[in-house]
Amino acid sequence: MSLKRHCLASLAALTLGLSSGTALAHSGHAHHHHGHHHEPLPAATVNHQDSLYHVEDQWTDHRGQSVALGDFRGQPVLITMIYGNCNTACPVLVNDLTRIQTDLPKTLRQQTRVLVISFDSLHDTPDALATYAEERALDREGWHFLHGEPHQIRTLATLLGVRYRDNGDGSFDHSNLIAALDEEGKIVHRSEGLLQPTQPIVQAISERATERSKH
Amino acid sequence: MRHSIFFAALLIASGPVPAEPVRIDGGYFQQPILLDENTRETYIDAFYLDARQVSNAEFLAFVRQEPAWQRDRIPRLFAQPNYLKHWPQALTLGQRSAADDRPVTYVSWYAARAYCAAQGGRLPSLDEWEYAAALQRNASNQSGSEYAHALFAWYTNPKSRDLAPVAATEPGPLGLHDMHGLVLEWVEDFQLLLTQGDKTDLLGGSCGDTARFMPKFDEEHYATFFRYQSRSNFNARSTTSTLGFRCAYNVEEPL
Repeated sequence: MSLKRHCLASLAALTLGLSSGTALAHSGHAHHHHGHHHEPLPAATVNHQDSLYHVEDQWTDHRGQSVALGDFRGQPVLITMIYGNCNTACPVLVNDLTRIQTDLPKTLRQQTRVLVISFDSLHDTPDALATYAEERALDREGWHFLHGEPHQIRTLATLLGVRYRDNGDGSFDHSNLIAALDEEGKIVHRSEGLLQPTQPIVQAISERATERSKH
Repeated sequence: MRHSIFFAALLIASGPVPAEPVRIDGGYFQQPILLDENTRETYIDAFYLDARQVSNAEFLAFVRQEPAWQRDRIPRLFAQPNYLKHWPQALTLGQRSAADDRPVTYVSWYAARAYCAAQGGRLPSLDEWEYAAALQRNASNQSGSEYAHALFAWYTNPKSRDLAPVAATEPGPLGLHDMHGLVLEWVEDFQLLLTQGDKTDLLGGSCGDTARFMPKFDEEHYATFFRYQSRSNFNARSTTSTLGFRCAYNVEEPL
């Protein structure tokens, strides 16, 4: 079968090509069983036209309080998804949230709420997230580290276009994404990747706030 | 045969009959495509899987109970505009693929999940669905070649405008109807998650792109790969004429 022969030849060529370098890996914790680093999963496309506040799932934050996304209506919101046992990409993403918030104009900076949602329903209990926040001096006003059930984590990740999978060994492969929601819960901007410039997302949040103040 | 006539009679008499779920025993499952450089083998815990795909009549009963999922009320966040578009009205079924005993189609992933949650279930994971399909196929006498040819015949002629009723044909050895050949099914984690970086265009992709994901080059793996590939083409709001679903249920652990 000539198709087969062609595929085999292509596979051989691709296998050779694949051994070249990998960028900053996203799940490089010590017990990663594959013994090599992957590229982060690319984000999926999402709907920007409708509010995420249609989702009514209840989360528990690191202070032990029950919260729904809709509780944050009325303020801009920054969201990212991480897991506690992740020492490479996740701390960078969390630091990127700080960079973005710092670069916002003062009033918006104070209004903006920051949500960090864990992929790891099993290990990242509210208590574990409290420890995570405390150890990194992130138990800040307006910041919420959220624990939820697997199905609601899947829902939110899908709405944000964050792709992930549980590797079954305590690690997750996932997209590196920070999303900004406007006061009504619509996605105004998504920043994919680590250490991205803050200007586009800051500008998107600022412009949406200005539009709204005109109405 | 007698069995399905009995069910058909019940459908007419008293509306949808809940599909009796089939217990799928736990076991090891080797994924039939390469997500990494190696094939992954995972242990699948026992679960229950609906014997049949969800029908229009069953989905109608659900949207009557949960009006937020009716096509004129659903937030656009959760479905494309053609959600349930084949029904003549929001709460009225019709002919052919919109008839009560046909598999429900034009349903988004969000809507499928909401339906299963309302039944006390959930969507099967991708691995669970594939595992159940593989178990049933192993228990049958179908050769790899017969399987591949049946799938390719279906892929090229999915009969979306005039689908057969659910469970119109005999079930496989495990009791599961229509795992292949009626409509594709939503699974919880439908996206093809390739850690090698799936920036490749799978649909327009060259033979070489496809080859990267196949552990073995035969018709059988190619037919299976097509199913994975078509799933990766959906997003969670997608609503199409050839995509339905069935639900899964956890096995309650004995105390």
